[in-house]
Amino acid sequence: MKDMLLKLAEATGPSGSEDAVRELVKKELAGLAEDVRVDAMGNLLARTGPRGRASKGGHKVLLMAHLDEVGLVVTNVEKNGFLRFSPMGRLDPHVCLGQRIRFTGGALGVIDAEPVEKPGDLKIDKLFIDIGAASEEEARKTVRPGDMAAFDRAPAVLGHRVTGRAVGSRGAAAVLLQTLRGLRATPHEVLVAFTVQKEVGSRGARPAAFGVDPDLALVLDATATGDTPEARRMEVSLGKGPAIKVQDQSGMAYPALRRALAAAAAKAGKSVQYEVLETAGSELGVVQLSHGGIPASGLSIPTRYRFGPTEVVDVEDLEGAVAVLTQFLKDPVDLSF
Amino acid sequence: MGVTQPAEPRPAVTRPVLQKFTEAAGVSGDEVEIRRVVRETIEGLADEIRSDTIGNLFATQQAPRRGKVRTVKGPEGERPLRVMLAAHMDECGLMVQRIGKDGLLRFGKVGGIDDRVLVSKAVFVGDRRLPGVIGAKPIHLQERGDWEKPIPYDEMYIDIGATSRDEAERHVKVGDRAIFATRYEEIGRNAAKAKSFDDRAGCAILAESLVGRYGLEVVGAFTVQEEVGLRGARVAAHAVDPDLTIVLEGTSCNDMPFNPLHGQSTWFGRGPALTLVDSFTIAPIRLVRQVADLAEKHKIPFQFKRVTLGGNDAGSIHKSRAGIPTLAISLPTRYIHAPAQLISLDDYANAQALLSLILDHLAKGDLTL
Repeated sequence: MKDMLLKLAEATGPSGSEDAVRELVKKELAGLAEDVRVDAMGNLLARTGPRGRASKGGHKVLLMAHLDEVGLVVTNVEKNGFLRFSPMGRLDPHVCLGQRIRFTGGALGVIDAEPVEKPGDLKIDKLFIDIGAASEEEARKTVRPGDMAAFDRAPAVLGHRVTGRAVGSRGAAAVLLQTLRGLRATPHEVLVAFTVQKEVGSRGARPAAFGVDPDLALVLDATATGDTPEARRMEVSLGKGPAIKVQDQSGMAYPALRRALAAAAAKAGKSVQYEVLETAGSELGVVQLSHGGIPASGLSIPTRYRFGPTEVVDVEDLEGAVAVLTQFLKDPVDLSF
Repeated sequence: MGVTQPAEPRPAVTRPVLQKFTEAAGVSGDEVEIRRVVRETIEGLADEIRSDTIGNLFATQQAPRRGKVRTVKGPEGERPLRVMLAAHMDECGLMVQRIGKDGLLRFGKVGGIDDRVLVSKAVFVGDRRLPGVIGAKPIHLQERGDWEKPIPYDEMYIDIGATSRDEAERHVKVGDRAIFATRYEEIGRNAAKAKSFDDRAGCAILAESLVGRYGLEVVGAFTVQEEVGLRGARVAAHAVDPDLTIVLEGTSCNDMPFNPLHGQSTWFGRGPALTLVDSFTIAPIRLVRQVADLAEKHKIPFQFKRVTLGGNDAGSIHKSRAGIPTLAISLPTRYIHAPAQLISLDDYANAQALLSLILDHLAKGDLTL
């Protein structure tokens, strides 16, 4: 599990430029799923298990995890070779300052800022990227407006935890892959969607859910924690198991699915937490509104320091998530209220 | 950099169409007049013209029976590639919300209007274009401090010359929309001024593109309610189910020399702007780059929009169904969402040229989706 996470967290995939992550996941999917395809948005879709609702109690179950991460996009190349940029997702200007970034094409850059009077004045439009070019012409040979980048920070092992950029959401993607790897008998047709553009507003998830048209969906993603010094109150901690999604800014989970996930956790002997996320949304909200409405919940990976280059996740939470998900897929699901 | 000249002579119909379209009324949710004007203009240019229940107007050109047609394989077999061209008919404006005992009309804003542009403007109210004025206290009677802060819209009113509620109600109903009473005029070297280039310029480009025929199925979608949340386009995209959409828009332009380069958005007169990323859409960047290469090769001036703020119908279209690749071609529009907006007619002509170039090359199969 740890190796899979480290591998996925190496790749750079800011929203809208997820190619490298998608290729990596696609390779991992070989032999685990069939009908692997990429839709018009760039979502990576596949399936496994019996087709349709052939077996008793079986449903079309969509498992979703996103490929992208918070990043930036170049908007201007200035005369002196500096670049200006806009955030893709929740990019904190203070966190950007002094960071090294990597473009999806491989180029490196460093971020610095115009002088500002007080820290509060540090907005994204005061920041610029230096790619080591001495002129606009030289800069344009490497980077063009529209090119995207993310923090250049390789993942690293931190005790029994892992740190790095996007380790929360890549952890969720790793959970999905590992679940497929261990999946034996299931009554369900298991549809998987590795989606794009989540960090800019869950844009890939809507077309993915529409294209797949499942009976129910589980969204796998990172969630925040409340276990750091003076943290905003939240009943989720690192290392206490994956969190069953109850509610976030995007929507509310389908109660029967919450119960089914809790029952699966009990059966698998794994501890779980419950996620009420007040500071962010997830793909849940758009997935559950697709077609005539799709019962949806999620299993979330507790993640510290979200959206920055130093996210931290606990490998045991990831392993717990795989166990709960695997157990969930073994049994028929009762979707009645 | 100087003003660029259009690559091709502009069609003779441009100016009357721009004038008709920009002067027509069509505040979001009440696009009746502009829809009628558009429909009259495009009559005979499509195989089918229809509107839907939300108010979008569609003009469908089937692929030609003869000549090369680009096709795709769908579940129902091989069919011509379906391209939707989208421009929104609605404009920002005002809506009468309450008629006072004094005969003055209190109003709300429809779409994103800066309160500061409202005061002392002449407007037309309702279907019958009743003239009115947005009033405020004259400077003689103001106290120090009055002019130091902008007047919020809900402290302004439209004065139609009525002195009582009864009198006003004979002419106006709550819910009537009001538009700015700006005439279309050509000014400067090759610029035009009007109230609603956003997005009547797009509507005009779309209407005029229907004069041509392409080796594609082309569906022109004149959408409604863009300014209040990209609402018509969502319905339109679902119904049309295109393989590709090109959105024709007006976009922000703040290229005065005293503004920092990275906040200007676009340059006036340097060609239509292609969007890479905006607030609602990440464009299919490989396709945008192909279009840019094509424009360069054919010497059509263009630029990339240089901010990621703002958005257009692409935001709801590209997420429709299982995802629809969507491009946006935008005209730099100075003073957008204000009573008098300015476009370059060179940019307009170059946007037309770029659109027909894209459609021709799509039909030839030169652009990979």
